[in-house]
Amino acid sequence: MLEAITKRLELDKRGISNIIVVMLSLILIVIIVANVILCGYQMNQFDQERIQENMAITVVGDALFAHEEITTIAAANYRTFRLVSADGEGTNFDVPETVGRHLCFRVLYPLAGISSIPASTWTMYYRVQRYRTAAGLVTLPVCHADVDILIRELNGTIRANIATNVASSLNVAAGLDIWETVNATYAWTAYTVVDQTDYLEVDFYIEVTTAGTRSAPRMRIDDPSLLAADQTRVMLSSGIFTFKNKGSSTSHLVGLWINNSTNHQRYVIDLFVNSGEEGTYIRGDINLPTENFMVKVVTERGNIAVFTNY
Amino acid sequence: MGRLSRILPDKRAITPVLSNLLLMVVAVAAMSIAATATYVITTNLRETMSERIVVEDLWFNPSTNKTMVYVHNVGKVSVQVSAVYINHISWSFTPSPLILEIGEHCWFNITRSWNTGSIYYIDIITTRGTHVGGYYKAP
Repeated sequence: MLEAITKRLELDKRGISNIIVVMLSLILIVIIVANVILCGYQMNQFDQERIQENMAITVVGDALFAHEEITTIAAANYRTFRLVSADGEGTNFDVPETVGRHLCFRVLYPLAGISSIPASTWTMYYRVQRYRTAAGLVTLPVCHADVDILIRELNGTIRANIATNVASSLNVAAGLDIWETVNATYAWTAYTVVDQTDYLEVDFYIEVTTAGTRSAPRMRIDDPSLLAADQTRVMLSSGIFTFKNKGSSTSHLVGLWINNSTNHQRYVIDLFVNSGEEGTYIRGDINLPTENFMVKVVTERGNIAVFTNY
Repeated sequence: MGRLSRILPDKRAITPVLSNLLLMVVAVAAMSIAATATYVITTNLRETMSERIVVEDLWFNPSTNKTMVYVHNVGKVSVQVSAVYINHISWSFTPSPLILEIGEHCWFNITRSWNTGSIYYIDIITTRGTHVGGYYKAP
């Protein structure tokens, strides 16, 4: 068979040249078409992934408000920090009027999705009051508020004691049965999260230095009737952003915008959020504007999610 | 000459050799041209298909009364912004030329003032012809 073809080609040499020309032309056409189709396929895939991406900014804040909701770990109950202002009914934590450092409550914030907490100055705000405990002549106790800060593991053990008896406020100055918000600062040093199932814990104390008579101090949380500035909270001097990936593929967040009427500022970020998961980003050099602002997050594929605080 | 005659006794053989050589040169040249054309055509097509830019932010800056646009090249080739149209009229912009490598992003300023409450259609065009446009209302 092969011999017959060879003989035939030898007889008609022009046929070989025709075949070569046709073959080479075909190869060129195939290369062009393949190149274009391959590129088109890649870009279609890119566009499809981009269309399917669905990122949302769920929470933006710079303060952890103490809420009365309970978080239970290892059979122990704690209150809960949230990035939103008070929405409960208000809860008082009464402590004795005797001299000593009295625990009011312990509050947790989950570190899920947080890789590190940058260094910044935290300001603790305490809503406190010296109230009447019995009828008769009253001597007000001399007292102030402060905190312990630690990292607690999911099994209830303490992973790290960050600080003890810090952020001590000035002595409570308001008169009997008058509420007051006092504050104090704490210099937080950068902390790298060891395990994302850990919690940041802040234990709020009232320390009585001179005992009172028929009057004791107390601290109040989660009271929506108060202005946000008067609520018990931790101001982080950092922007905290929570992103929810509602899409079917992992998203890479590359840019964060903080816009207001006087400035549009872009920050470079590098955060991956898996499909269906939430990611929290804390940035020490972002101070959220006090007036209306808009936050935008940009993904590597070019999608933009928007959050407005109007 | 006599020596050459001894080496090449049959001078008629030179013509087929030369013709074959010439044919080869012509074929190689033709193929080279065809291959180059293929490369150029496909490269152009691929680059045009691979261009993606997004407008991350557009700021009607009240302090300068100019419009600032932040663009991000999210495609697979570098892009050059060649023209900017506001309400279908071309306006100059700085920096110019604006070249964005893959993944790059930056501000550029359009040298046109804006009026509060007005709506502008801003169209950004690259050298390969990609358009990115949209309506924006000045605050």
